[in-house]
Amino acid sequence: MSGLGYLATGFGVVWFFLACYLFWIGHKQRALLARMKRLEKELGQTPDID
Amino acid sequence: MSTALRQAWTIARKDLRCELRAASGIITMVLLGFLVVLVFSFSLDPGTRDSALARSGVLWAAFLFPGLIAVGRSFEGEKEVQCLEGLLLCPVERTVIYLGKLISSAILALASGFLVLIFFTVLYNVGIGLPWLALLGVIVLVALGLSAVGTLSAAITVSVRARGALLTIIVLPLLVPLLIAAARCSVSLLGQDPWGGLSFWPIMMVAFDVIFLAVGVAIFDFVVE
Amino acid sequence: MEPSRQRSLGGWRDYGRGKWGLPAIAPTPGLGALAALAMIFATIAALWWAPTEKTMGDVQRLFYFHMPSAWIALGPAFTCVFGFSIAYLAKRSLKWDRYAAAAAEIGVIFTTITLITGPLWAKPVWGVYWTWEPRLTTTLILWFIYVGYLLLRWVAPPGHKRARLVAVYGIVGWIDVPIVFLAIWLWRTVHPRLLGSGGFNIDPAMLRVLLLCLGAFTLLFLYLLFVRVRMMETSARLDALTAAHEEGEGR
Repeated sequence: MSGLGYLATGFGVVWFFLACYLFWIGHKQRALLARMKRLEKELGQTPDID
Repeated sequence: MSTALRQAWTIARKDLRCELRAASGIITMVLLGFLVVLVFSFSLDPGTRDSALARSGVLWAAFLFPGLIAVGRSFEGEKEVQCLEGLLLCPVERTVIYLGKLISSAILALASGFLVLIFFTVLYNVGIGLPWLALLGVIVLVALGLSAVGTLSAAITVSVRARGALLTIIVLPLLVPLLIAAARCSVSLLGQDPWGGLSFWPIMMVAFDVIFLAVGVAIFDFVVE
Repeated sequence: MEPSRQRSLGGWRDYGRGKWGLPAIAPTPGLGALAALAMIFATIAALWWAPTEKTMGDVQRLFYFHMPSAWIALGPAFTCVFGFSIAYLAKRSLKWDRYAAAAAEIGVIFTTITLITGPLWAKPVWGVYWTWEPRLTTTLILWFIYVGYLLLRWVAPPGHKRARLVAVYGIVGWIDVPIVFLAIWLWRTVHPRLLGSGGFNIDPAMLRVLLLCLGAFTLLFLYLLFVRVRMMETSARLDALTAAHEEGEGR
């Protein structure tokens, strides 16, 4: 692999990693939102999460 | 100060007596050490003169596995019969418990390490002389460091799932400086010029032991509140 | 049941209700946008604006991501874990435990990035993936310590006990790392193997790019830290609310 190949792989892997992490965060946040909505329905009011 | 040590020794004695009574623990540890030496030997060429490097690796692997078991057992026994709460009710400072367990696991690690060293010496035709005694000294220092870090880590992991493997994962990275120093010493002692390669590594081992003993003493209270 | 005050929760309800179609419980969205922009600029700077290195060629551009992530992982992130651990043991507020956990998590990510970019840079330049160079090897040990921290957190049941245990480990780990570095450095210097780490005098243009990347990574670290802490807080709060609600129902 030429130098450029390593370069591309390097930056690609870094961005891939960060993207995976961000995607995972987004997924967990969606789950949290779903819990909030469910709780809102059960409580009959917006859950106070502060 | 002396009362603390006496109390610690009492705790250590109790642990050691338990281990000796149910000798299965010690026996498995020593056998494990022997087996490691044996199995790793297949990758080596025992005849070659300058395999000090490879033999060192074998020695430390064979020491570490039983050592980690020894360290893990110091709290495991308590957990199983729920003695930990009883121990904590004792009117002694928590630090004393730490020291006691440290002493008992160090002695166990040292005992099995000594036997493993003998087995190793026989299998690899290591000459017995001053360098060999120095190697034993290195094992003592490693046992102390392992116990200092390991007792603390064992107390941390005793109440969680998968504690055996987790203990190893937690202890080994922390022990790296000690292991590097020990490996450098043993490579030197097992090689052609025993005293030449030692340089400052023994000092590093002593420093490591002192530092982590101090850290353990200082921080153990927080673990067993 | 008392009516809950409809406090503004960082605008989550708007986002959550589909204002931008993005579900988010994101504090500091401004910081997030800034961090994203900075990272994009950093990538562009590293790949295009930075001058090509004389001897190493274009592969050297990996350095602009390798060094900042190493610096952040080894320095701020890990020290944050140490600091927040002490804060927890002193104040006993789970807030500090969450900050420590978030810092450790992001630290692992950045450490992994360092450990991947390092060998990828080393192989074409020096012909080997790994040189047992002190800083990189210490980073590897650091990776194990971080991961051990997260594993410990994972298997322990949540609460103050877990917070206490991981705080102790976080403190001991941080004390250990300089000793690890010293030991590895002494090991590698006394018996020099292969090649050194190849320090080079840094050209001002390169320094500019490096600082830009460092800034971008710092912003990213801070933003992710706040987001993760907020998520943990929300999760804990929801747990408490659900438990209270179920208790109320049971009665």
